[in-house]
Amino acid sequence: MTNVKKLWLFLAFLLFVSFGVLIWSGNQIYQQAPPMPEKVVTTDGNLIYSRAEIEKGRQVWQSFGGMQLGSIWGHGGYVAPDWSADWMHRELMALLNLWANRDYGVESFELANAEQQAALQGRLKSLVRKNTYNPDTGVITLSLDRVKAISQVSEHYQRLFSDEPSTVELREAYAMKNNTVTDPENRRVLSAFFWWTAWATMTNRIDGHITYTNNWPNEPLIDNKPPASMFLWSAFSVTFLLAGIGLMGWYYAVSHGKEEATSKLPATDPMRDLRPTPSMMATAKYFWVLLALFLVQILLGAVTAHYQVEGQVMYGFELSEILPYSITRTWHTQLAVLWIALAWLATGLYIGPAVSGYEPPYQRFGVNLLWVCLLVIVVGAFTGQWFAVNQTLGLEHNFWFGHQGWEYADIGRFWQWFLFIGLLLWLCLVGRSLWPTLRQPSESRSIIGLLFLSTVAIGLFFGAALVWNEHTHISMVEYWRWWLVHLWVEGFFEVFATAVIAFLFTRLGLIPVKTATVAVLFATIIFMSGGVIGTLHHLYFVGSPTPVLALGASFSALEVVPLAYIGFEAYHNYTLGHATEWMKRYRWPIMFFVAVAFWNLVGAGLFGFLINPPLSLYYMQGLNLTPLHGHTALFGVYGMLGIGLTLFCIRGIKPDLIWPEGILKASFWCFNIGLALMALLTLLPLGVMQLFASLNHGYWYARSADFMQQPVVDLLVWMRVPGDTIFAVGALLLAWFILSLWIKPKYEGGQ
Amino acid sequence: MIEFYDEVRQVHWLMAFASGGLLFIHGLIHLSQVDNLLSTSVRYLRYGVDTVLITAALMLTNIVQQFPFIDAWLTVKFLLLIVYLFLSHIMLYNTRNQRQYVIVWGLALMTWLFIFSVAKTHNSWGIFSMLF
Repeated sequence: MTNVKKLWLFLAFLLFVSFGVLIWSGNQIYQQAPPMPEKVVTTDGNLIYSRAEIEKGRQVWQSFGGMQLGSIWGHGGYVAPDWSADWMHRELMALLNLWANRDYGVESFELANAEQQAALQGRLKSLVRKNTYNPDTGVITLSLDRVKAISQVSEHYQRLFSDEPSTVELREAYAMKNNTVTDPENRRVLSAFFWWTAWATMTNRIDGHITYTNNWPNEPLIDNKPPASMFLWSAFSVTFLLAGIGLMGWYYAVSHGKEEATSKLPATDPMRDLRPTPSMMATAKYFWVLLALFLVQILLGAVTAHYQVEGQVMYGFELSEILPYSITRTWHTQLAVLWIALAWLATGLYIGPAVSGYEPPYQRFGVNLLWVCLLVIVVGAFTGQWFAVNQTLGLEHNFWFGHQGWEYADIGRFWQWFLFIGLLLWLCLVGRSLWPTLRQPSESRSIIGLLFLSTVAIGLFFGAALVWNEHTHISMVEYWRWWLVHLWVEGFFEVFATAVIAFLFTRLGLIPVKTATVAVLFATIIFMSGGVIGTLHHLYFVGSPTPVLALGASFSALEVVPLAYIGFEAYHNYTLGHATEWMKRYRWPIMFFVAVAFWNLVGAGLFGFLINPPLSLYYMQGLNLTPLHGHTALFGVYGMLGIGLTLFCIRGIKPDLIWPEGILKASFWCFNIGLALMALLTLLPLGVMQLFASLNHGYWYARSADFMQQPVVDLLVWMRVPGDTIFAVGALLLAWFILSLWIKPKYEGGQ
Repeated sequence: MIEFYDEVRQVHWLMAFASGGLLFIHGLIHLSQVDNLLSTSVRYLRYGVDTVLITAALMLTNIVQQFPFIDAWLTVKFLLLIVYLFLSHIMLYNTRNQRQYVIVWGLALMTWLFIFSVAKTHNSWGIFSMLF
């Protein structure tokens, strides 16, 4: 059996086992998720909330943007509070104040002496952590005192989501528009949903000593602190990481220098004489559109960041009336995925006929049709979200055509289906053009097969977004949502990135096909061994039981192992960029690939692992350390890759042009410097400040208006301007570079 | 943010002087053709200074709650800033001879001076407001 065949078999076995474990974990979450009560009643039998009201409250929350405005269980936006943690703290304080007043005659809990406070806290802990859910009847029973506290908090939330003047300052601090929820009844049921999410964070599992969210968030008032298992698995995860790095080091030591070198490099660029087919030429418009989407995404990012300091206005304009924070953040995050995905879709469509030399019938028509469909999806989905956030679509239409509220998966279900069908069309188009090559036995069949399989996985795994429905339990929605987001980003995207870069180098004749095939298969095995089960590290606090936490911690640590050695890849790519004289033609695409490796180490590896172990994430989830990882990994790795691939394809679409490389060089450095400044001047220091607050005072405080409205926080947010400006200049230069290839092309030989 | 008003204002003024000063020095270096490396260094320094200048300006608008297209003198400043950046770009990349360079350099310096006078007087007419 050949090495390649062994690797294929091992990969198949690994995927079978990993997905088996992932599905088993999903079943565990399903079985042990916090229960959705049929009724919530007082001890004297009065109804407080019904299941229908809690579920409708969730629909209301989704309709105004859900995770895009504040967060639930730590997942979502960062300017408004985490609603579960905020509700919990307010309810606990309301109870303490009530008792302090009644029992000790003081106005508030703070005015009681230390001994009284300790006594009240002890009573509080035993009251709220006790699980009063009856699994047989589906009823949660609450004390009358607690109902009074809930009523106070509910009133606060109903005022907050209206346009009442008493809460206007808080709305500004949270970047909420006035009348975020226009209907009073919807505001009331919204508070039912928030209450239920908070209940799950402070109530022990039946017959257990930890809450449904593994004691998340940190709340000193009721001793919500990390359980022992979290310490244990965090320590083990670091150990596994070190073991993985050691093993990889050993592997590199053994295999280093044994790769088969290309005996003779081609004298001229092998792709130079490639004549683009009509369908390959038709991909050009994908690149123009992705640039437009990228520029709009940056603009929306600037507006979203600005809302953090001005709340509802933008340099004097009442922008939140037209484009509230919730919608700018929604579009900003969606566009990030869309333009990067568009770069990859276009690359797939370009590479298919380029590899096989075969233009299937009606391929160009298919490419054009898909492009139109994608435009319709973007415009249609975004319009629906705008109407939803402005509360004009109605709850009955929201799930299908409005805003689902699940970050990165928040377009309406109709548009998700449409996109899924579009991705299947893309698969067909790429597959049919590659088919002649895939059928023919050849040395390169394996690497092309792997490339194609990663595109199949990218297309089909979007299907995970179609699994949940309008009333699926939030824990299960989270489970499937991370199938989509995590398995794309930390699984198939990684494979696609590795395969496509290696494949391009083989086409250029710089590395032998066999060497590339073995390297890509090996890398795929390494990425997938941590990546698939590593999905669970997003699910520590969404109602998962301890075994799921243990698996997530252990395997997600392994995801960092290949990134620790990514310097080898970066140096290798950089060296190949200088391998021959004609490789200068590809200098900048390759520099973008080098940047991919750099940010993979920094953004995905370092900043990713910073928030990865359960104990770290317990305190850091949803603080600014999350967007630190998000920005540096999503743009740093996949954005840079998207740009590199775009440049590679454009080199092929316009092979005879002299590139104005100065513009590209400036753009490249602006992107890298801008991203680094954004991370180092704002996101990292702000995240660390929040972490201290979270550790010292509780998670709610790190996300509160009191903390986030401090002058020094404002100053740090303003410090984004230099980095963001430089970054935006980079994008404008890139757009100008690509535009100039069409509007004022300079041909080689002065033609 | 009002707590940082003095510091931000000082940074803004400092960077404004640095921007104008470096524009002047940059022109002199170019005309004397002494050192290409020096010219390049000054160019990059100007980029840095202008970025900080704009950041401080945006912060000030937020602190004092006066904005371009709402307050006339800031509108003039904003529009002249675009002219200033445009002239700086032309000066660096699109002049064909010394004469053109000197003309554009002079126009950029005059624009800078006028922006300075608008900032000092808080009046759209800047230095010319004394005439009225």
